[in-house]
Amino acid sequence: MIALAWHTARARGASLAGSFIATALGVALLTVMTLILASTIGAPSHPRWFTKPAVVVAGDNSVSVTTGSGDDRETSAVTTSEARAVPAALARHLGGLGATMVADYAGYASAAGVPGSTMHPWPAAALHDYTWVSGGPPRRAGQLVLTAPARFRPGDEVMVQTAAGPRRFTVSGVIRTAAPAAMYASNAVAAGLAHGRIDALALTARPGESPGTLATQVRAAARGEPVRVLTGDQRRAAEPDPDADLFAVAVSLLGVTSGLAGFVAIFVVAGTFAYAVAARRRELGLLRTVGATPRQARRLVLGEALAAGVAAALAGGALGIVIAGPFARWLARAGFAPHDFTAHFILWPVVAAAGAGLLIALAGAFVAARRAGRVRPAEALREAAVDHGTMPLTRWVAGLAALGGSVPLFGVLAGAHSLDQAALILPITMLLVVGFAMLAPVLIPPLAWLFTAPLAAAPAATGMLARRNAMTAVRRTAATAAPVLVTVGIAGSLMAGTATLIATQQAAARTRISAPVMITPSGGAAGLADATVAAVRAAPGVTAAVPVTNTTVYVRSAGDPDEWTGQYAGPGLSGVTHLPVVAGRLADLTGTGTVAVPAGTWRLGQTASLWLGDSAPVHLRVVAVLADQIDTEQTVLLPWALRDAHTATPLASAVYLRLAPGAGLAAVRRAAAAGGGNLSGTASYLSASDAQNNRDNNLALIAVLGLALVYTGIAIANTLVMATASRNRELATLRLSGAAPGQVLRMIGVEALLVSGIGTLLAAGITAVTVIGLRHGLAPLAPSVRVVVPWLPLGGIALACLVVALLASLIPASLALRRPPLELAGGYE
Amino acid sequence: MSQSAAPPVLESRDSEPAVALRAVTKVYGSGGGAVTALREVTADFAPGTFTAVMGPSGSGKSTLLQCAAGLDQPTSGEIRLAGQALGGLSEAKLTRLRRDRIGFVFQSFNLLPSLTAELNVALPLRLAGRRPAKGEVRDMLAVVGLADRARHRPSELSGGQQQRVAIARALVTRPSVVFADEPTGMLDSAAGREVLGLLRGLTGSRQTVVMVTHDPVAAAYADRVLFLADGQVAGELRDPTAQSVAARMTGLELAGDPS
Repeated sequence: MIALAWHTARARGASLAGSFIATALGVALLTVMTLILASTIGAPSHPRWFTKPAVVVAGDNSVSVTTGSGDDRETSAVTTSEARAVPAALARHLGGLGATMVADYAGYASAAGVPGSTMHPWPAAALHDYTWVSGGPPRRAGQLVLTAPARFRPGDEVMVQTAAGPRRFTVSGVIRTAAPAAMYASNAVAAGLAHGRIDALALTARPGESPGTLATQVRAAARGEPVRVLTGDQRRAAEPDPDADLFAVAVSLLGVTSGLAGFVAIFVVAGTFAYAVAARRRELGLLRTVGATPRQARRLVLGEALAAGVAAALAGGALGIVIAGPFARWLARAGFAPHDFTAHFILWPVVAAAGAGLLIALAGAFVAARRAGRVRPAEALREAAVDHGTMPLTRWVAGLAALGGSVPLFGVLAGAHSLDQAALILPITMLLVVGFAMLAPVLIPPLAWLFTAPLAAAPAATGMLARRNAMTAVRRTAATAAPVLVTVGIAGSLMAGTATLIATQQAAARTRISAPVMITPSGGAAGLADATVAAVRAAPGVTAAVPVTNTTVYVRSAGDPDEWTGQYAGPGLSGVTHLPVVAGRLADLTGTGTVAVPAGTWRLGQTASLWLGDSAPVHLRVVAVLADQIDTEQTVLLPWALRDAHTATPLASAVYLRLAPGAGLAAVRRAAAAGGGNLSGTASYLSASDAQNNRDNNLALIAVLGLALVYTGIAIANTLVMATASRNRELATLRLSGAAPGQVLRMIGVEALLVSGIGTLLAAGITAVTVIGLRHGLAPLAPSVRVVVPWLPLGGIALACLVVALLASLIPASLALRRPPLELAGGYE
Repeated sequence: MSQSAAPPVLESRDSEPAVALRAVTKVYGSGGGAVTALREVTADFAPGTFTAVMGPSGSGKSTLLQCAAGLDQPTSGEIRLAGQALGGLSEAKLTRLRRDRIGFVFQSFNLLPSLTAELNVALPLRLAGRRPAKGEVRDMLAVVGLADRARHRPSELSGGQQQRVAIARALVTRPSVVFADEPTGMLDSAAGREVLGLLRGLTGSRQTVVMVTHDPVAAAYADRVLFLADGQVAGELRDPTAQSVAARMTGLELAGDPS
C-alpha cells in the first residue's frame, strides 16, 4: 500500500504542496531551535575571571525545600539571582591556611565611557591573564585601573558612580584582558565601596602543594558555612552571569514560537488532507470497489502523508541547518538573546526535528485517513455536491469539549502577574480555535445566509449562486473558512489578550503612585546611591524622598520555593503611594525585622519566613497586610535597611518625591544629576516606560505571530486552490448554462469574500470570548480593567487573509476558464 | 483477440447459479421520501452466460447490479455468489470476496487518474498483497489490445481505450463474475463493438457476465435479456436480437406510460 501511496502522492504533487511547505517550515524551525539550544547549552564553559586560583569560595546561591522523610524525601531547589556574602570570619580562618588568598570585592561602580560595572581590588587582577596597554597599577587611594577599550589615558580624571555616591578617581593604567571588563582600585578603596562585602575568596596552592589537598582543607574549614567551594569549571559559577535572564527569555521565545508553529502546521496538514479526502471520494470509492479494504484505504492516505512528511523533513532539516547560525547571531544582535548565542551542526537535534516533522504529517492526516476508510464503494458512482453527515457525533463532542476546556484556563490566566504567565493565552486560543473550527459546519449556513441577505435581493445570478454554494457545500466552505479563522483568531486573541493584560497592569501601577515627581537612573546606570537620595532629600522644597527597588524573594509553598517579588521601600511610603492596606500600618515598616505582605498567606503580627534574593533565610514580623490585587499579588514590601547586607548593588531603582507647594525643581534636579539621576513627572515617566515596554512586547509578539501567520497564509492559499480546482465540472456547467467567464469569476470572488468574512467573524468571536473572559477574571484583581484591542494590526491581518483568499481562488479559476467549457466538463478532476 | 491463459477456478457445481437473488428489496431513504428501487426481485444467473439487464430509467437495474456485486447492502432478501451468502459478511471479508471473485466495470471514471494503465490493471493484485507475475499485466493488456499503451495515464487515453483498460483490470484476477454498468454508454459504435466482443468472449472460459444497458444493439450480444420495470422483473428474452429487444422495451415503456 505504501508503494501505491508513493505513486498517487507523486501524481498529486501539487495538491500536497501546502502540507509539504507547512511541515517543512515547521521542521526547519524546530531544527533551528534545537541546534541553537544544543550548541549553547552544551558548550563547555570555563571560568574567565578565576582562571588562575585552584579553589574559589563563593556564597550560597540556592534555596531548597525538603519535604517528607525516609524514602519519600523530596528536595526542590531554586538558584537565586544573587549569592550571599562570604562571612568575614571564614575569610580570616582560610587566610591562616598558608595558601595565597585574594579576597575579591565587587562593589557597584559605573562611569560613562568605561566598560564594566564593578570595582575590584587590584590584587584580583592577578586571578586572570592581562597585558598592560598603558600606565601601571594603582599606588594611592584615589587611583584606578580600567579595562580596554576605554577612552581614558593614565592621568585623566574619571567621575565614577558608586554605592557611596559619586567619586572622583585618577586613571593610573589601562589593561587588556579576556576576563569580563571591570575597574580596579586599591584594596582598601574597593573594600570600602563594597561595604566590606566579600564577593569571593580565591586561593592558589603553595608551590609543592597539590590543588586537591588545598581543596580538601578549604572544604573542611568551610563546613557548616553558607558557601560553595568550587574547583575546575565549577569556578565559573562564582562569576556574574548578566546574560542568564536574557537566555531564559530567548529560550522561552523560541519555545513558544515552535509550539505555535507545530500547532498551526498540524492544523494545516489536517485541513488540507481532510479536504483532499472529501474531494477524492469517487477515487476512493473506486479503490474500494476494486478490492481495497477500509484499512488499505486508510493506509493509502497515511502513506501519502508519510511521503509528504519524509520529503518535508529532509527539506526542512536542510533549511534549518543552513539558517541556524545566522539566525542565532541575528537574535544576539537584536538584543533578544545573549551575545554568545550560536549554533553549529550537531546530528541528534536535526534527527529529532525531522522525526517531529513526520509525526506532524501523520498526526494531521490521521482523522482524514479514518474518514477515507469509511468511504463506501458505491460512492464511486455518486456525484453529490450536497454534503450529508458533516457533523458526526465525534465532531460535536470534540468541539464542545475544546470550548469547555478553555473555561477553567481563563481562571488561571486571570491570576497571571507576569508576561510569562500571560503566555497562557496561547493554549486558550488554540482550544477556542479548535472548538470553533469543529463546530463550523453548524455555524456556517446561518452565517452565510445572513451575510448574503443583501445580495439575495438583487436580480443578478452571481449573488444567488454564491449564496447557495456556500450554504450547501458546507464541507468546502468550512474547510476554506478554517484557515482564515485560525489566522485571524490566533492573531486577535494573542494581541488583544496581551494588550489588555498589560494595559490593566500598567493602569494599576499608575494609580498606585501618588508622588507627582520621581527620580530614575539615567543612561545605563544600575541605580541611585543612598548618598544621592540623601542629597535629594536635603534639597530645598522636598518634603519626602522615598527610595524603592525590586528584588526576588522566595516563599515556601507546598514543598517548592516559589518566586515572589520583594520591594524594598524607604520610610514614608504611604505618603507617596496609594496602597490598599487592609490591616496594620505601612509606617511600621522599619528596621530590619519587619515586612508587609498581601492578604492570604500570613496574618498581621505573624512571623513570615522567607528567603531573600541572595538565598539568606529571614524571619520577619508582619506589620501590614495589603489587599490581594493584580499588582500586589505575590509581592512583599521590605524595609530599606534590610537591603544593605543582602545585595551587592545597594541602589535605588527609583525615588518618589513629595514637594512643598510652589517649590522650584532646579536644586532637586542638580542634586539628582550629580548622582546620575533624572528628574521627571511621574505620569510622563510611566507613560514613556509603558510605551517602551509595549514596543518591546509587540516586537516579541510579532516574532511569534509572524511565522504562524505565514503558515496560515499558506493554508488559505492551498485550500482554496484545491477547492477551486475540484469545481471544474461545476464551472463548466455554469458556462454551458450561459454564464460569461466574467460572471463566473465574479461568483467565485463573492464566495471568497464570503468565506473570508465568515472566518473573520468567527475569529472576532474568539477574540471577544478571550477578552471578555479576561475581563471577568481581572475585575476583582485590578482597580480598573482596560480592554485594549489593537484594531489596526488586526484589520491589516484580516485584509491580508482576504487578499490571499481572492488571489488563491480567482487565479486557478481564470486559468480553468480559459479552456473551452466542454473540455472542462469532460476532463478528470 | 487472444484467449485468456487459463480457465478460472470454479468452486461451484455446474447446476449452481453463479449469482442468485432471492426476494431482494432495496429501499433508499426513509419515511415520506423513501424510494423503493427493488421489490422482491428473484433471479438466477447461470455460470458461463452473458445476461443483459434492461429497463426504463428508474427500473432499478443499476441498483440490482450494485447489490448483486456486493457494493450495496439490500434492505431485505438474500444474495448468493457461487453459493456463498453475501449477507452476514464483514466489510473486510466482503471486500476480499469482491477482489477475488468479481470484476466490475462502470460507465465512466473507472481508472485512478494518477496511475498508469499498467498500474491500474495491477491494482487488484497488489491490493491482495501479491506481486503480479512477470508479464501477467502485459498479457492482460494485450488481451484488450493495449499492450503498447501500458505506460500511459488515463488522461492520455481515449474513452474507448480507458474502458478497455478498465476491463483488463476487471479481468486480471480471473473473476467468476463480471458486472458491467453501461460499459459502452460513453463510447462510439466501433469502440463499443470491441468492448462487447471482449465481454462476449469471456463466456468461452466459463466466466459469467451481467451487463446493464439501455442499448438494444448491445443487448443483442447477450445470451438472454432480463427486463426490469418499477423494481420488479418484467420478463425475459432468450437469444435476443436488436429488433426483438427494442420491441419488448417499447412495450414496457408503453405499458408503464400513464397517458
